[in-house]
Amino acid sequence: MQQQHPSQQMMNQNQQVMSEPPARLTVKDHLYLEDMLSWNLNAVKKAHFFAGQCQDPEIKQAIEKMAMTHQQHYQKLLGHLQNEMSRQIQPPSQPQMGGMQ
Amino acid sequence: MAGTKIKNPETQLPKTPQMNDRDFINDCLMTEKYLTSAYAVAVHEMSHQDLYRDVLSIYEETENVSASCIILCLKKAGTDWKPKIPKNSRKLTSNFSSTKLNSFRMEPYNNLFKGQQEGAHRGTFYFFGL
Repeated sequence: MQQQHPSQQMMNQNQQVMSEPPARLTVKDHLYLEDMLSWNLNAVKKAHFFAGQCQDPEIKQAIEKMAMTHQQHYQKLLGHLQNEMSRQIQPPSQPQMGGMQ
Repeated sequence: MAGTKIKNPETQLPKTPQMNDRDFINDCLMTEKYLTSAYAVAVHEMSHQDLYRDVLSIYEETENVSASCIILCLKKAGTDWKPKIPKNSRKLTSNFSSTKLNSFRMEPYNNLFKGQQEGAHRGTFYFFGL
């Protein structure tokens, strides 16, 4: 129990006023990310399918480009989820006392 | 040129019950419109700066894709815009270009409104731009 004291003090220091929100995902962020990922996945599939059906080469090319844009968006959004995952697997050096108290 | 249609010659497309190229590009535009309005809500709700920035840039890029779809619709799908000038547009223009802002003209700001006769909205920007 004695050993918890320094870490608790450290936590108190860390609990000072934040100048901006920490780069952590909230529940709401998660829900939005999930939605945005599924929109983009659907958009990629749809655009790719449409491009295959199109006859005009210019329209085909434009729709393929659209599919690629959505794919990039998908990857970008997925990156945020993966960051959060890796943060949970390797907890930062700060003591995580929340669960124990 | 009032009343002249803004339109390109329509590309010949098969008229069958199946979807053709025009339907595909229109459907893409519909999807982009749906996505941008959804992003507009999402970008309000993001909790931290990195996420906000990324969603905002994705939103902007999606809006650009939507704009390029519209250009393609004009170019290929025979979509037309009708530049019809409404009957009261002259009255409307004169109303907005000068009278509405007269009451706001105050001594220190007078120089800001010099030469700002062409549109009420521009005047307003200058006014709030102080």
